[in-house]
Amino acid sequence: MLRIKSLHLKDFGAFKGEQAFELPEEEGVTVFYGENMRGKTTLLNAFRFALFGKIIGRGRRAVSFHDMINWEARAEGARSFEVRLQLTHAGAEYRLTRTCRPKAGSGSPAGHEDYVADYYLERGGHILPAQQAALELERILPEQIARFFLFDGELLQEYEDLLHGDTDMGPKISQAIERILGLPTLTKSRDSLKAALDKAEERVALAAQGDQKTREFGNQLQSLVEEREVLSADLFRHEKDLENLRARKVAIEDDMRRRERMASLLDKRDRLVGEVEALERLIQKKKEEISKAMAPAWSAVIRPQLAAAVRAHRTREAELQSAVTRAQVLHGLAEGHDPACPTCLQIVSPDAQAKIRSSLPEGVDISPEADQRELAGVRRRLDALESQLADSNPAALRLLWSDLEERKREVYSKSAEIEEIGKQLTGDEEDELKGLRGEYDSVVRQIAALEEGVKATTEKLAANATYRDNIQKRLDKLAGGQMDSERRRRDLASRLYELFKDSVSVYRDQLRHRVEDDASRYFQQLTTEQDYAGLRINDTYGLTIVHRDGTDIPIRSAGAEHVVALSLVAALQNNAQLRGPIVIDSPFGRLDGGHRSRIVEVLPDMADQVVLLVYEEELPPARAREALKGRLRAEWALERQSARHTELVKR
Amino acid sequence: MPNDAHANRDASVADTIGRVRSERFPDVDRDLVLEILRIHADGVVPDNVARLVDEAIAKRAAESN
Repeated sequence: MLRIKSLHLKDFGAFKGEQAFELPEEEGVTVFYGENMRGKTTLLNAFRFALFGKIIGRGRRAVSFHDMINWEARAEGARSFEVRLQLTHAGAEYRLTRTCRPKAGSGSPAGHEDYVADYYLERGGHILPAQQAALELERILPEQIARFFLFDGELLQEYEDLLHGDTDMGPKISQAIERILGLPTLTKSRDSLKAALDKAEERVALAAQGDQKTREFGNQLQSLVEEREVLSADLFRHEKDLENLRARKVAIEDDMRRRERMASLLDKRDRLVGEVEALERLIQKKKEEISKAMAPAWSAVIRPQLAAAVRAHRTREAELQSAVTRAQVLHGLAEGHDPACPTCLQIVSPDAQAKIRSSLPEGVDISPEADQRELAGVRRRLDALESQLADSNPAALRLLWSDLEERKREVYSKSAEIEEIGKQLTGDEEDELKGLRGEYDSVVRQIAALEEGVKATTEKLAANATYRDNIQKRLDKLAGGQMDSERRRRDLASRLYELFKDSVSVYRDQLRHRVEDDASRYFQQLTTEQDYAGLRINDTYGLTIVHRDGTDIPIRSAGAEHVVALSLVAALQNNAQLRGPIVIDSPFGRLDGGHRSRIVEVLPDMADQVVLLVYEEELPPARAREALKGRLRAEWALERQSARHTELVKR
Repeated sequence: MPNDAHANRDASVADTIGRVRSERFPDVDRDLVLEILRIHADGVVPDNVARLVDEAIAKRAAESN
């Protein structure tokens, strides 16, 4: 069991000068209250730096050592920082001191590369040799499983990857989980036994070659063993390459996630550029339309006169039409061409015809040809006038202009946005992101090719094993001499290998169920949703929320994700081979007050020693005292002295 | 999901391997199994692990002759 006794800081981040705190010996929770920018994350990083020499910032980005020296102290001449951690583990007292200082000959250090971080580890008051110290630290708290002891809300969010088989982070977390649960003892034993078995088979082949009766089989077995070695070496190399590529893929994904904002800015800029190009084409089209519409635009000046002329011509057209019709009717009736009146359809008598003829002026030609000619002329002029009037439509023209102006405004606004984005993007960052995207695609292609290669080699190895097995069986029938003793050795190695192989799968299965049971128990204590019955685990330790009707809850909020991740961490602590303290920075994320209280209540059950870093609004001291009662062991405040100086003050 | 279907809860890796040995591999020597586990304890594997495992097997195979 690892326990923290005290932490000493010197010019580390916001903590100017020498500052320290001790953690109570009794089991329970120590709370550190600090407003934003007071140094809560720095305190979490102090543990990380002491143990692993690393400092992690937002987006899991490594923080430059140069930026970690307290600014005020640096202005006063300080050039280094130091963290000292006093621990107890397995009955021994340890003191771990890690110091960061400028590299020799670095002159005026300006960046991370100009610094070096060294450490020494004391056990029982004696400094351990470097190699032994490294081994001892690896035993006390392997970096691979640090995520279960030192974490924040952001790290908790990563556990979602366990649910998705397509991420490369998931398998890494799964490995870390199996590491903390103690599986490597079994898997490493199994792998050693596999190597021992391979060697034993090789010795059997050599022994068989030495005997006349078995030489032929011995030769065949030897060549199969050699083939297996080549294939195994290929497989090992491919798997190593695959592991490196997957790690690279995770790193690129991580990098891309960190540059998410920039990536989204780039995407937005590209989209805006496309939109501006489309608008420019539209503006060109509009301009052509306006140019056509502008040719007769001068007539808009005489539009009122044109409208008056149209009205006058319409009146004249009506008069002439009426006159022409009247003349045609009278002529038809007078001449007797039409026997009936076109209006009342009565037969016109000869007397009536004579009356019509007498009413017509003497010697006047009643044919309508003159009026018809004038009517045709009026209509031609009317057509011309109306066409001119339509062309001179200022409302339509105004619409075209206004549309053009609107598009130009859009182009202006989008161009301004592009310019603004351009200011936020440096050329280097843009090139880097493009490079990253290119590299990511290439890594994904390489991974696919290697996976194919691994599959093919595995198949060849399986075929090789079948042939070897066959020959071994034939050899077994031919007993004698040295071969018997080698065969016994091989059989024993084989049985041991099978035993450990089976045990790995039995133990792994048990671990999964234990983690599932415990995580479900914690989840029920943490969640305020009564309809949730527990959690279901998958092969890679991903946890799904289960409704009380037995169905899975497929999508969960960021808040639920937090609760599930905390349940997993608590379950792992419960089943871990390596137990230790938990240091949590702002673990509540977007959780409501109900969930916060429950988490605080459960914290003391998660580990014997819990260090909680929060701001008071997130967890008011009164609520913490109420929820933790006697298990709240100490309260500290991160008090502001200046923007660059925080003091640790015990409450 | 909490249920009582997983009754076989071994207290440790050694318990699991001990149970698997007695149920499926009773012919394999118990002490040899524990010796292999001890070589790999703590998850920190010494450099000469392959030799240690080989020697442990050879010794046991010779004894059983």
